[in-house]
This record gives sequence, structure tokens and C-alpha cells, in this order.
Amino acid sequence: MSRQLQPEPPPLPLRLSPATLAAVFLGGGLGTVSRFLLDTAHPDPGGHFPTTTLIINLSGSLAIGLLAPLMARLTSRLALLRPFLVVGVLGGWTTYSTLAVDGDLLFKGSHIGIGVGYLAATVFGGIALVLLGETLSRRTDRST
Amino acid sequence: MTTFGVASHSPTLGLALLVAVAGGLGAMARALLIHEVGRRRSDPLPLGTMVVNASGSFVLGLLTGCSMYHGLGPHELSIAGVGLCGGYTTWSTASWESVHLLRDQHRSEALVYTFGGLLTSLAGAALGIGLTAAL
Repeated sequence: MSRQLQPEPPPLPLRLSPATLAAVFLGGGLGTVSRFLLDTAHPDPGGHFPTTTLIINLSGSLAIGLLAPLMARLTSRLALLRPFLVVGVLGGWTTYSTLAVDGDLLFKGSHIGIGVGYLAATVFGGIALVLLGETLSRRTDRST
Repeated sequence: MTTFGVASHSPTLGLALLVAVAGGLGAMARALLIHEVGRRRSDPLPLGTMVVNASGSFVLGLLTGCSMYHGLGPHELSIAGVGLCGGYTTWSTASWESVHLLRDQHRSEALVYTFGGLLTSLAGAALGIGLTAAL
């Protein structure tokens, strides 16, 4: 992969203190209800490309790319920001279960091309946006 | 999500709060499970995330099937499906871990994680839908 980027420590395992779990709960609730509200305002109709869920998941990949390098250097006083934002908000905002069910329903309805395109856009788009987010995050960080 | 009966007009505050609580509980369950699996393993493959996403996809498959074939209501599907399963499963961590397996030169793990994770979740969801269709 890109040579100018150094490996980051993995986001897990967390130290799961009650405060950490509370941060995950609050962030997860916030992220999940945001996805629910966007989903109900712009529902993905069956048999069509699930644009809303794709935008939700790809924005989450960009955001984790931007945030993870910053979170790795937080002082202990701000240590709860990572479980709140990364594990909670972004984990609740994005979804794998809806990706899998929508993919299956597209295949089941013989929309093979849409299904393959949707899964490929999520997987490869997600990887590209994590890389983009990390690159932007480090560039901003160096210039400040 | 592709809305089989998820409440599609403006949700009430009460429903939104229940979805938020379900999502928070799902996220906590995910953090605990990934932590427990990670503690027991030294392998670079993030098995915990794969287990979370496949099991959450199976449960959402069951719920979607119940909504399609057995009249599960839109509010129940929103709370248990969009809330609990959506808060429990994650795409952001999955894409991040794929990138970091590649970057750390764990190429075969990256392939197994990315595409094995996708296939096990698709299979889990299909099993859930299939089980409810057969009942």
C-alpha cells in the first residue's frame, strides 16, 4: 500500500470500563438514530440500487479514515472520544446487516447486475475512502 | 435499507428514541463481543468483527423474512432491525480493518477478511430469510 502512510495501532481491543461502554452506548444510539432518520426520509425502494445505504456506509468509511489517526494520539483525558465517535457513532451509523440483506434481496429478485454493482461499490469504495480519509487526516495534521 | 415495511413516513419521537436505545445496546454488544474474541486470539485476522457482522446479518434476515412472510410490523422491524442489528453490525470498522490488513502486509488475511466477511454475511442473511420463508 501507499508508502508515505505508517501503520496505525488497531482500534481494538478497547479497555471496556463502564465509562467506555456508556460512551459506546451513547454514540451507538446517536449514529443509529441518524441512519434511521435518513433511511425514513430517503428509503431505498426494493429492486433498485440502495443509494441511501451506500452513502451512509461510504461516509462512515471516509469518517473512520479521517478520525482514526487523530484518535490514536488522544491524551488520556479525551480517551472516551474514540469509543464514543469511532466504535459508537460510526459503528451505529454504518451497517453490515442491511448491506447483506439488501444484496440478497437484489439477487433473489434477479437484479444480479445491481446486486454485484452495489456490493462492489461498497467494498472497493469503502477501502478507497478509508485511504482518502487517512491521507487527508495526516496532511491536515502536518500543516498545523 | 430496502424497506419491507419499515415505517416510511415521518417517525414519532417515541419510535426514534426506541431505535436509538436499540442501536446503543447493539453497539455495546458489538464492542463486548469483539473485545472478548480479540482477547483470546493473537492471529491478525479480526474474527470478532466477522462474527458480529455475520450473526447480525442472520438476525436481520430473520426479521426481514418475518416482515415479508409473517406480518412483522413496521415499528418492530425498525427497532429490532434498523436499531439493534444496525447498531450491532458495522461497515466503517470492516473497511478500516481491510485497509490495515493490506497495509501490514497480511494480504491473505485481507482477502479472507474482506470477501469471507461479505460471503458469510450474505449467507447468514440468506439463511435467515430462507428459514422464515420455509416456516
